[in-house]
Amino acid sequence: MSGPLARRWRLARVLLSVTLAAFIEYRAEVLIWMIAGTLPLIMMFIWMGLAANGPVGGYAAADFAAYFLLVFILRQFTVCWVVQPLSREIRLGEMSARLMRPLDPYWTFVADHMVALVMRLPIVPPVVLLGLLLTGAFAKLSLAALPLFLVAIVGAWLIRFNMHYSLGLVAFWTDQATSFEGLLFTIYMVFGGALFPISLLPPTAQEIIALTPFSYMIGFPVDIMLGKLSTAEMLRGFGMQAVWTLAFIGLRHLTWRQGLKRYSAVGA
Amino acid sequence: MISVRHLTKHYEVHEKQAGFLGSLRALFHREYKAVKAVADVSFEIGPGEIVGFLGPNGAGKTTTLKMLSGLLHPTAGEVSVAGFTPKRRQREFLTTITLVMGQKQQLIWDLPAADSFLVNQAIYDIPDEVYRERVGELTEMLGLGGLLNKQVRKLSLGERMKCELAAALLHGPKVLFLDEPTIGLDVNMQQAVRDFVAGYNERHGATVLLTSHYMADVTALCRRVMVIDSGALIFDGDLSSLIERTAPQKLLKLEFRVPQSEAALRAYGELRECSELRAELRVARDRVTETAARLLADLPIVDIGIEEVPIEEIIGQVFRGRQAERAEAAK
Repeated sequence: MSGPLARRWRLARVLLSVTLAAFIEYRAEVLIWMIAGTLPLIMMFIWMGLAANGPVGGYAAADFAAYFLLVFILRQFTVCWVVQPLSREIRLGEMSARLMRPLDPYWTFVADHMVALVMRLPIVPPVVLLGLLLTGAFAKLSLAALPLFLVAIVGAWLIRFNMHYSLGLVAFWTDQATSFEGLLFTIYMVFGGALFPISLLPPTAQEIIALTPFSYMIGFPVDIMLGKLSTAEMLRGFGMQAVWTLAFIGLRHLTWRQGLKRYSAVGA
Repeated sequence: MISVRHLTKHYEVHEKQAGFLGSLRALFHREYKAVKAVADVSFEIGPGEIVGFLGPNGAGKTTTLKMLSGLLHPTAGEVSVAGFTPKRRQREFLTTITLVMGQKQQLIWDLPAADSFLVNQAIYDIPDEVYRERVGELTEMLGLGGLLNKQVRKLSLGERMKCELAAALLHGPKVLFLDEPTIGLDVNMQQAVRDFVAGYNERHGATVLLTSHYMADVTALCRRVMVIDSGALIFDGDLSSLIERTAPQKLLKLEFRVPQSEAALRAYGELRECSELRAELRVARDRVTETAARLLADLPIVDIGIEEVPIEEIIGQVFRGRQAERAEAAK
């Protein structure tokens, strides 16, 4: 009757609809998270102010507006809070209930995050569109690049989620997984380009940052949408996204398998 | 169905002295101590058996259950459950067993239990007809009528526990590991859960291994018990022989209207505890009724209760007996 594909499809549908139902219980909270995520918009106003009397490093005020509004999109649609619940469940033994079911807990956390994205859909794009129109930055976008921009967002999400998931799994070894998260976040915000465009930095710094996963989580997709990248640069960027995605998925699998051997399932 | 050979589990526990100085010391130098939670345990359980797993807190019951269900990797020894090696956690294995842990929840807190059931249906890939049939059966056996569409957080502890049980059994497991399934429940609810486990075992021929602090759970359900203490299996056999051998007495709890002297009470049985208005007497099993009647006639009694000797004490006696045997053997 049902092949493995049909089964997975049904599982995804049920998991997402039930998770959505649970999220709706917290709709006010989702709104608060989004307001808490407006740092890129604050950065936008700061840099627009600095560029009021002439371009900074080739960015005019409208360029900064376009850049940070796109950063806002990236921040909102790659939102990831998996470290906290994952490490808590491991530390307190709450993971046991999930482990008893024949489904990698990874997928229930994925469902949580997917639902969070769905709930942002009716809000984030209109806000960004309004911002683009008000600041006159709409003309700075390369609309033809929209499909590639969306693909790059998926890549950014995969890198970020798998990176954080691997970090959360560190809780199998130490209780301190969440304190690493703060450090990681700072590096991500700076290297990713959430505070200033990386292209404002000296070329050597740019080259080094281009080797890390961080610029593919924010800066790279944003630059696609701004039409700043040549075909060669784009290919290289997508290549790097693929490499980092695979690397973190591999790391996640490795930490998961090793971690389970150490799991102590504390508590009743 | 379940075969365990020389099962052993050691934990590494990091020890820290209490207080700020202790924390400071632990920052630079951590002391680890290996704790032997389970040591060289072997047993076999046949299909359809209900076995009670007894022992004081920290004896290794739960650790053993967790190894049997694949949550923990054993340090040494072999485990086979329904032909699978639990720690591999294959899909077929996980759909064959279930683990119910007292307060641990798999139900989604903010939604009705029915939603969690749907998730489990999808995860375990249960066909619609089978799903409807099982939900119907579980609703009837556990008395879930009307509960499934209420938000889980609005349910009482007992109601939630029944829903948890149902969720854990939706996939029709053949092996049930129940860790304190009645903890925190009132007497009626304990009885309901007990009846359900017995009924499920009967209908589906499922194998059940359960731990409990409540003597009544064990006496109602299990013919065979295993007693574990300090990680070692110290008794494996008939429940009735364990009770008669180790607890040939029952407990009489008395409350008086006016204070009684200890000397007066000693005449009725072995005096265990005595404050002015209360006393606990131990009386041989076959003389309990007669003694109680005499007490009621002779003394100004307000309240009287007849109880089994607590299970912890029985285990303690088994354990002490074994130590004595060992000492004997050493001579």
